[in-house]
Amino acid sequence: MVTQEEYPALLENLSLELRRGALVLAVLSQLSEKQYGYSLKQQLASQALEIPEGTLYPLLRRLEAQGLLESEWELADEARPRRYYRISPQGREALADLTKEWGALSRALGGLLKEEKK
Amino acid sequence: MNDQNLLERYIHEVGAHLPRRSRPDVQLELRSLLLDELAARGLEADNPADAAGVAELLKEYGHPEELAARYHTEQFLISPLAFPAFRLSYGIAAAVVTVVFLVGLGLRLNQGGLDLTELAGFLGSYIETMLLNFGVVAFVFYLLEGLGWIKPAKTGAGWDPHKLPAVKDPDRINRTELLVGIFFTIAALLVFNFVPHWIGIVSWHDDGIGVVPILSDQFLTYVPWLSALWVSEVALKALVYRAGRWTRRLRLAEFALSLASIYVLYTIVQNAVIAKLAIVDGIAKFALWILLGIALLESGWQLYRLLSGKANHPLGVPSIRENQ
Repeated sequence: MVTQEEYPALLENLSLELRRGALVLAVLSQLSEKQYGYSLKQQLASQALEIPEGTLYPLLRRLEAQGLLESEWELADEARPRRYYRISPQGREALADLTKEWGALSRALGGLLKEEKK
Repeated sequence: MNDQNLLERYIHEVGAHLPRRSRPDVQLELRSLLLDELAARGLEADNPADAAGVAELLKEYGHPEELAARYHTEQFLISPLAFPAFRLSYGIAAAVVTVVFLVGLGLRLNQGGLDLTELAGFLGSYIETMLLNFGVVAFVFYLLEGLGWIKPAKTGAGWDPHKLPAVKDPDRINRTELLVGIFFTIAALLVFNFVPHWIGIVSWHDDGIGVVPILSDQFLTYVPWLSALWVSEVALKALVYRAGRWTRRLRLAEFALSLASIYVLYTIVQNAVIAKLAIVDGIAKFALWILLGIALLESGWQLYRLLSGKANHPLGVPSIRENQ
């Protein structure tokens, strides 16, 4: 049992876990156009989805390793090369399947939470 | 860019916990991302006035060990967290084994040499011991991790980016060290060429101190060879001093000089009587065999650095063109 003082940290962790599950879907949905890490982070933040840097950037690499994203280096200027990510054909397939999954989960959870309110 | 700034120290430390294969690419991207974030906040990595802001950003990214762990997708026998300690432990064990084998090899060669079969057996036994060592150290770390005895030291929000270790730059030079090296090389050059009889056994008698020359005449015929090496070494060190740091060309020259030194040392130790006294000759040859072993290991390391391109990248981070 956590104390009243520990509760905010616990809530933050639970909330982070909840977001983490949906993160892959969010990232895949935003990469039909190529983006580099920071621009993607800003785009997600503008849709009220704040993701810690230490979580988002490694996730991009993992999705690329799994074949869901493609990436290429581009030289914005001599001092700062950027790695741009874009969804791969396999990633599009996964996005479509995950979107269906999300819809089903959302409906199921919606029903459960409605019952809870009653 | 000042490679001692917090940003570079952070990138270096993250890389230390990543597999060698993915390290340069992750480090290159991490630098690019951090610079983007800094630019968005109006901060500069090299500006001392922005150090607090840079530290704040790094804390948001998380402790280097934690961030590196998130970049891992593969399964490991030794986790990224424990890998630096594992590498250090195995390095120490390997160094001890190597020194013991070199001493053994030196003794055997000194006692009349080895034929090809014995040498192959000696090398086989060395490789076997190194592999066994690796297995034992890896097993110990696997157990320690399994028992949960290896834990991150200062992860979480409480870590202090200012305490990140400095990045070691292998190409940076120490001018005083270079000058001292040049001084002693010139001193050796002068002594061996002009007063070789000063090298000997010091004795005290009624008339004062005397020196009984120890170097054999046969050895002295090799002094021109040694002198050529020493002159080349002084020239190389002077060039490094002028350049201000090691460059790829200078590293190549260093490697060539190492090979030449190995050849000359081997020729001397195989063909010449070094000292007039048999016991001193034996000790000198034994020392030279050890020196040869060390020189071989060193030149192997120099070659590896040249081939892997590490000589010019203190962080081991290649340029964008190398990455493509």
